Amino acid sequence: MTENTIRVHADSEDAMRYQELLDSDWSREILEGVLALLRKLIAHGAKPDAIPWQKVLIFGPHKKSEREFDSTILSRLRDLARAFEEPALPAMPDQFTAIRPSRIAAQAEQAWAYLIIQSMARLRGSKELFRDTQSLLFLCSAHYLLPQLQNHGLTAEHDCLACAMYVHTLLVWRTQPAHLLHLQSILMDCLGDRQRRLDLLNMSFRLTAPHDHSYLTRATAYWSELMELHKYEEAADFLFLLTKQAPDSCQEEIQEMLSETYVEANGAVSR
Amino acid sequence: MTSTMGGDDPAHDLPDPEKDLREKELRKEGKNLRRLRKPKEARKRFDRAIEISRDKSKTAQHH
Repeated sequence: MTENTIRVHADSEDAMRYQELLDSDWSREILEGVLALLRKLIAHGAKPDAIPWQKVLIFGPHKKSEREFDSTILSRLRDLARAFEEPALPAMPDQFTAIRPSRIAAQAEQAWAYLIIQSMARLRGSKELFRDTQSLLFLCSAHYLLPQLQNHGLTAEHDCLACAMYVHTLLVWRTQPAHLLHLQSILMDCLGDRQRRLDLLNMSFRLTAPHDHSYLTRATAYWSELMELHKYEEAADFLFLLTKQAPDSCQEEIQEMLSETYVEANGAVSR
Repeated sequence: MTSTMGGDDPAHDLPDPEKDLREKELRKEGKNLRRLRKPKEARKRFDRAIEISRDKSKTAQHH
């Protein structure tokens, strides 16, 4: 086993904890729960005494940020963000905003370290549970941590985390493109790029087979986005196509969405 | 439900009936929130529903 290998160990208790976190609203407590589970999964495999950057992986929830973030991780993230350029992404910051150590900045550093860990070390063992837990970390970052960083005026930390989230999608989810594109659509929403979000939701849906569990939910998310953008004609065309492709079990909900589309479209015309 | 299924990974996806139930509830909540003009909250419900419903790593062959 090379020095840069981290063994991930999970048992059935960890799997049950993952299920609890999966079915929870994304909040500070859930972010802390997700980070705690990730720390537990690598607790026996990490070697922070021998490999200094791994110290970022193991600190607990009450730790405040150091004066400087770990430069090895930042350097890797900078290289990857440059290689996977995406116009909607903010640039990787050269300097950071935090002038005082804070818990939120420490959480952000731990989050970006876990999101790009596959570029820093080779993982062995229970990799699948680990990466699904990383997916929860991405979602907590999008719905809780990024807005918190913004509210605290930690713009550089926000931008760094956004870059790590984008890199994460490409590093970890290449073999599940529908999920990769969905995560990117969430990030684009955080960055305020609604058209890019819409395109990514559409692509994610198109890569999902009608028999897939997530088919109707992905379709509903795309339809809802079209409605929010007042693209009623496109929404109706999309639903017509869906009536032809979707399984019988989905038809009732599709008809409800069609009715709602007509009602809102007519209301928009009469206003 | 959470026994070890090959390799080093314990099975960790929710059972299908539970997924069906939760994603249907979240879709309904999302649509209601959209009608109430709370788009951000609506999107969050759809994102949660998708994360619950998608095939998890390793268990993809079970659906």
